[in-house]
Amino acid sequence: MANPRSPLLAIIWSFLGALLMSILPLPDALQVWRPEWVMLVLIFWVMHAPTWVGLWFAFFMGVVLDIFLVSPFGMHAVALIVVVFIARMTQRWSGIFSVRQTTALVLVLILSGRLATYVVLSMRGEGPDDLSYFLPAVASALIWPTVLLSLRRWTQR
Amino acid sequence: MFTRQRGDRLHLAATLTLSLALLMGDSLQWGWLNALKRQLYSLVEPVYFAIALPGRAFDDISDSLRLGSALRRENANLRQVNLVLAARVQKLSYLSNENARLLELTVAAESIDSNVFVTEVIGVDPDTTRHVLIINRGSDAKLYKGQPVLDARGVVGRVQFIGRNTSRVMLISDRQHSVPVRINRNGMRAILSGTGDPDELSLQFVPETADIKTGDLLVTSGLGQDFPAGYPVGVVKHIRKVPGEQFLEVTATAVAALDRSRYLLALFERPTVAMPAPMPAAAESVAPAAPASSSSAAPADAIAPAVTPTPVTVAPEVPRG
Repeated sequence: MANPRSPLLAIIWSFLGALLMSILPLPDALQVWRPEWVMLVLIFWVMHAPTWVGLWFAFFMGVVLDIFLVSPFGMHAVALIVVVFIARMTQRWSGIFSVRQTTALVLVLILSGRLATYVVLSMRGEGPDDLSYFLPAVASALIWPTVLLSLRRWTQR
Repeated sequence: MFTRQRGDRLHLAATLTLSLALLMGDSLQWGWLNALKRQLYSLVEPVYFAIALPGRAFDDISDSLRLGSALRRENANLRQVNLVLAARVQKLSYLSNENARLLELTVAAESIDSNVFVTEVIGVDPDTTRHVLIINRGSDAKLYKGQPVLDARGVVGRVQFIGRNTSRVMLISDRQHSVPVRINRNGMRAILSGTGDPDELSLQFVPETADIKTGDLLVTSGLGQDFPAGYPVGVVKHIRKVPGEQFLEVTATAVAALDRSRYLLALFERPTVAMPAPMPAAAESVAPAAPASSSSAAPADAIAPAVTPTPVTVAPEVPRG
């Protein structure tokens, strides 16, 4: 915090915002389109502050998210760890990617995260029965440029 | 810190193992893990209250802004409804007393004025694959897991997760939810399960030859662990014969206003099905001895037939209320 370059404060605020957004009540029609806010913010920080946000941070956020959503304990942790691991593998390219290319990357990342929770739920016998379960990935990809630009402006301030 | 690929693998293994262990513990219902989860949940509970605040404030303001004449009219209306309900309760308590006398069961008398606790809905689970409401009472108000929850018309669901000041109610329309019910008209038993569609419940294990009609009322049978008998759950909507299938495909709609009720009743009543079971056995043991003394034969006869018709005569009054 003392260091003006340190993104710690921005990280904390953005994750608090993301947590809030993921439990905020929405109209029924928009409910299925709720983006995966925590995953989005996590991907952003993996790309822009990889020394701060890594796998252990993903694990921590996953547990917090599981408590907030009262989902099976550890389910979101698995999903976020998978997402962060893939994001870190592709990190060397994301610096030279255009916004459009990172959007495609985000779509793939969040689909894989969603797939992880899908597998966990299915193993527990609670698997969702239609493909609308994967709609949030599309919604997240659509909202990604906005998240990217607003958070990037914030970090550069 | 750990940007290198090699280090990453190691951390991946560590974190994944840890979270998979958590998942395993969660599905095996480890006691300390559940306790930990509940503790942590009670820390984030205030957030749910804070989120519900704007909506509640809006409701409060619109309540206080309502005009005097409208309030008076509503008051008069409510008074009338209250009168009607009170009259109905009188009749019901008479019937239940009579029923208790006939069955010589004291438990039936208690079922009319069972203990309820009024709670308010403060939120909905953001996950669309689950039908879960958040209510504003928890373990501090002695709510317990599996407790039945009603609204003014019928069964809404059961408590699924308890926090300190909030709890989560799984609706009967959730795909994980099932209630043992019977058809009010003839006492036939079945299981009512949610389908994930709020307007459609599915009645399972109804044999093809069963006597069932659209419009039949389904009430809880009291056979499960959670729901006491006699509370209305749904109305049969659609019956379809599937060729080659052993059971009918029956759909029903919920009696309770699942998506509109603002106040819910948490019911403090355990099912008491185990009680009537010894009765016929006792009657049988009396009956062989009865011919010896003619005085004891009369009550034994009076009890035995009363067991079967009573659910039919008393129960229809309850759901109409």
